[in-house]
Amino acid sequence: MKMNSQAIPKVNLSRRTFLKAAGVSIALPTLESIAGAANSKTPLMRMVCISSALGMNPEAFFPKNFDRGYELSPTLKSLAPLRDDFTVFSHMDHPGIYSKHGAMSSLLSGINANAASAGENVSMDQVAAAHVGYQTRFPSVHISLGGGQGMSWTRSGIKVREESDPLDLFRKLFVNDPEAARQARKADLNQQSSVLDLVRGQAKRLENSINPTDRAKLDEYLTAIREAETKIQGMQRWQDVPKPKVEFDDSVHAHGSMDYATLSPLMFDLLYLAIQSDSSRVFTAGFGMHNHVIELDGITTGYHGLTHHGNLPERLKQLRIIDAFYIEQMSRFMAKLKNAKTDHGNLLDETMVFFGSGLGDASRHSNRDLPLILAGGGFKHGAHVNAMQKSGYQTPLNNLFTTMLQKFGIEIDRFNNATGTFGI
Amino acid sequence: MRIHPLLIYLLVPSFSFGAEDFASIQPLVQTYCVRCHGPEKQKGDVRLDRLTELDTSTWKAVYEQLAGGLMPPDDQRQPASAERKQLMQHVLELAKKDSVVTAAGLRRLNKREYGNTVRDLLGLRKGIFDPSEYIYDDDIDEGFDTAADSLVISNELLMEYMDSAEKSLRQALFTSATTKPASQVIDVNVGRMNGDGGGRYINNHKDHIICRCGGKAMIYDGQSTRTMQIPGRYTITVTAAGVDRDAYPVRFEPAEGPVIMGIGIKQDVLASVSSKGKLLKTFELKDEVDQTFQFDVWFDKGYYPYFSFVNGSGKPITQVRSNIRRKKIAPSAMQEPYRGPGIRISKFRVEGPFLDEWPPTSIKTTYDSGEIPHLSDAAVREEVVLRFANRAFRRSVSKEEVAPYLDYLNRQHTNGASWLDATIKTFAAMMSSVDFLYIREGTGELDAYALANRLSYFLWSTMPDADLFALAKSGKLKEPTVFRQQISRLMDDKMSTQFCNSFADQWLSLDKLGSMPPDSKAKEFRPYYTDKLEPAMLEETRRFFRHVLQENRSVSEFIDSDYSFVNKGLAKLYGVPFKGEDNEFVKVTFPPNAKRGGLLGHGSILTLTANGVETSPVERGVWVLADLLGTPPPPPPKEVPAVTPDLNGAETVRDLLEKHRSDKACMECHRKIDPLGFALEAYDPIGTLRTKYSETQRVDTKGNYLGKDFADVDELKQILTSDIRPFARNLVVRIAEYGKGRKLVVGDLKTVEEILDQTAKDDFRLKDLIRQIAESDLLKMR
Repeated sequence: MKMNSQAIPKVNLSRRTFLKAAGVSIALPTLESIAGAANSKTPLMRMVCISSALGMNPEAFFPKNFDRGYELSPTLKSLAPLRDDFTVFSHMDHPGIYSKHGAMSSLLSGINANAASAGENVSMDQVAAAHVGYQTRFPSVHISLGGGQGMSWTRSGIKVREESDPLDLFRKLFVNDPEAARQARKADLNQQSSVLDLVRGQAKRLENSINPTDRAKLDEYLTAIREAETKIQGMQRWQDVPKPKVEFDDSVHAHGSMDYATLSPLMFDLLYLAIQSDSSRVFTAGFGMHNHVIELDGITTGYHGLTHHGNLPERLKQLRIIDAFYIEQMSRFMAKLKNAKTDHGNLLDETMVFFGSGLGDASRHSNRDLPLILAGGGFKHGAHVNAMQKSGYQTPLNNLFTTMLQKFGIEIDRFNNATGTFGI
Repeated sequence: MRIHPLLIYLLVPSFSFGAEDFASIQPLVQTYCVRCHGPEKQKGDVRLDRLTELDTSTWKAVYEQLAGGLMPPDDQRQPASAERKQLMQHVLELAKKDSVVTAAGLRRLNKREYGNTVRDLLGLRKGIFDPSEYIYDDDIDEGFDTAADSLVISNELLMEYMDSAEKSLRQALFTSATTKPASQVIDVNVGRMNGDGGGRYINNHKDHIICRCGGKAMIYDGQSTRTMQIPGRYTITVTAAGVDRDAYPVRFEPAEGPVIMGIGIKQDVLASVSSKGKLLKTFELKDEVDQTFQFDVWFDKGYYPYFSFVNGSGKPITQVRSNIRRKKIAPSAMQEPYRGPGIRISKFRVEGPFLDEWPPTSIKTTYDSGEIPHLSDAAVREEVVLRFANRAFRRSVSKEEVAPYLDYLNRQHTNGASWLDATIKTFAAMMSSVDFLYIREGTGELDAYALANRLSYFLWSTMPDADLFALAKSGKLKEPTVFRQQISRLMDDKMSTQFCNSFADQWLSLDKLGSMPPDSKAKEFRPYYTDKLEPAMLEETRRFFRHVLQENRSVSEFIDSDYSFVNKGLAKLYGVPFKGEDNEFVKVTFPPNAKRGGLLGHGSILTLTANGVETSPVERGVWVLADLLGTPPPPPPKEVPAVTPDLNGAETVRDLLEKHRSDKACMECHRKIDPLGFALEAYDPIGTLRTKYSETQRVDTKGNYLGKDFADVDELKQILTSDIRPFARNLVVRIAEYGKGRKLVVGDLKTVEEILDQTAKDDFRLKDLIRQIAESDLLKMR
């Protein structure tokens, strides 16, 4: 990969703003942030959250024995060369989540969005993204094949948009818009700042004349204005910095949205390039919920149908092919990160790769005992951890998320409904 | 639904009454309720022994359970009907007296309303350019997309609003020219047309172009002049033929019939975002013989025309590959240029725009004036901004209020923008303001403008039209006879389709249709795809709802009717004779044994309550209780040992559920849920009638509802229609919630009962119900 030498944007420190909100500060770029990943002075930390919308067949996913000497399960076989770079967990989940398929959208928050108040169900990737802010071009990047996951939620309670086509993501990350479009965008951003000023003034007039319930909604609107201003400032900071040049073949044509064998490597290659070029430090990537036939060898039945296997051997066989494919894709991605050397080691050590699903056993719509893996990030790995607590209950996944956020550099005691941290 | 913590406090307080207020009903509650909901047992986490401490949402639940006849359970001692009535009455009286802040706060326009409102505010043409396309979907978890609680806003959304407003305004105010633009002719150089779909399948020749790929492939003029700058009607002339049908020893797609060419339009976008084309017309081509077609197409600003090979293969190479494998064609075909069937275009001319009126509708509507205003005149600018504010903010706006906007406009001009540009930017700012994006209603009784807005968004999902505005301005709308006329006018107008479709979709969860589609490879579900049943199912149910409303039929027809609306595909699915065109919907009367009629026989309902793989009596039972009857069972308390149907064994889902119910914790709810689902086991996951699951397993539809046995779905419908009031009550509550923009609280239920009393004598006819709701304080009060 070639990186072009980038101009370092000037940062007006007096304009650095920190927005205190829900214990999360949204930072504007600092000076050391634009230098690119491979040659930064102190190691950076990144986070990639990969998910499967329909769980993993538990019998083939979970290893039969625990601790360091455990035997890899059939689904995890492709991770053998990276054995010391990941941890697999049993008996961990989000207590209180019983929303079946709906749990797809609470994987990264542990909170059922349907029942939550605005702002209560922020997902952990968005906490991390707010921490990075516009130090990178994109505070976070989201993509999901075969339909959205909906697992990422902003602090204001809005579902974060996901890309569905790797080529769209490529354009977003690495293709500069034509000059005319960039100039137009620049003018638009300036324009939008002045519009925000104007409409805030108009909204403020109402503040004293409306009742408390209306007032709460007005506050929501005023907060949106304030956050939009921060966002515009962040985007303005990057508007004259050319996007990094990378080596990526964008002439690949997938058969369609189910051609995972083509699309999935593209997706992970882009995440890798985005990490290497420090375009973002927070990512979610997923394999979505649908009932189409995934175009992999040996698959002839719709995906959702396979998860309701009814113990029929043929369906179980196909389901496990798909599950193993997901893990194999993650394994390939991890290997790429590991082979990329940095001043401090390799990119895998500086990237937390999380894999999980909101469903434990999709055939029963169970939300208990989720299939979970954490790789990289400088943790001590190599074991199959039994997270069953002494009380006989599963460990809350948000405890692990708290630990991950701390590793990310965020001062946080408890993420959402965590009861503590989870040391590994 | 998301509720601000402050609102929870405001919305769900306990009654401000003392023990003496409950004295008359205390003995009844003690006798019939406290055994299961008291100090010893708190079934469903509900405790009724200390009535003064109950919050209002529990009171609402108590009322609903009593009214629906679900409590006390049919195996417990039942109150006499007078006693039941007394309890219900008492709850309503107290609730009505209790003064509770029930407003849910300023309500943001939802995505549908936003699109409609911008379109009507700017006089944009329906169909192509859609202002709401640039707005993210509302995330509605529960209830309706009109619920203020659910309609949150974020920075992303606000920025999309700003962007969409400007795009829409540039579409509407596309010129400042005062004279009608002349039409022009563009003869496209067909040899140099562009194509998306791969060089292998799109061949440029000196005087023609051939497109051999179907699917998403398209060909279009390669010059930037392809994109229309003025919205209007354009005449397209194209000469085309089908080619190379027999290039290979076997016929490639389409194997039979003529080659079909499509023409569509696509938006030209600067940024690196792709836009989807919209297919408008199709033409059958003759093989190797040129034909010339001429037709008119409406273009919005920024769109261009394209052609496509509608019935061509989306992946031509797979045909080559599979035929080589089957030894039908030589392996060398892989290396040679592809020469399978295609469309050939040898002449392509665009002439236009033809404008039927000048100034065009969008300009007249946006300026609210018959002429294009001279914006360089300060007095004119002030009038223009004020007129726009009155319509955009949907109320009477003062000069002082628009002063900051006028300043803004002048400042934009000083900074170098043309007067038109400055006006567009100012209008876009107004359309990003709280006054435009939110519906503001004050407190207590709605004023005339707020009432006009509420009625208009209720029945039309858009801003009030000129008539409503005029009646609001004069205050006449508050006169009962005038208001009643307006309700009728809005209901009878075809714009009320907005209400019918949105309400039916959300009430019945029709929007879930397609979220778990059946397996396209499974033989029994093939018709779902080959006959395009999914859109047909949606259309059937929407038509059915509109019919019941427009013909003012009794709401009992939602439960049981002898008719519905089907097209050819649905008729096949239902096994009823069909006389009509392929895509035509026809009202059919079912024979008595058809097991159709009423919503429970609709393919839409039966598909959306299954998961595309198998049916679940639990899912279907919950849908009937919650969506149809408005008495949702509580969620399972903890995850119970879930049921995994074993398809290897001989057990039916009914056997499994019966085991499940023998567990006491499960029995309480499942004895109500499952039997309703058992009746619907007569239909498979896409709604086909069945009598057996497999050669050995027969379907058993027996069950019991409210203590009455039924053998099948027909008998269940008889039980449900024998007392239609609980069903009508739910419908009134749901419609009122849709129109009001919040959940009803127990304090609203007295009005609901009054509406039911007034409409009962005429069998609860739907139009009457809606009129009563609109005239009641449910709609007229905040």
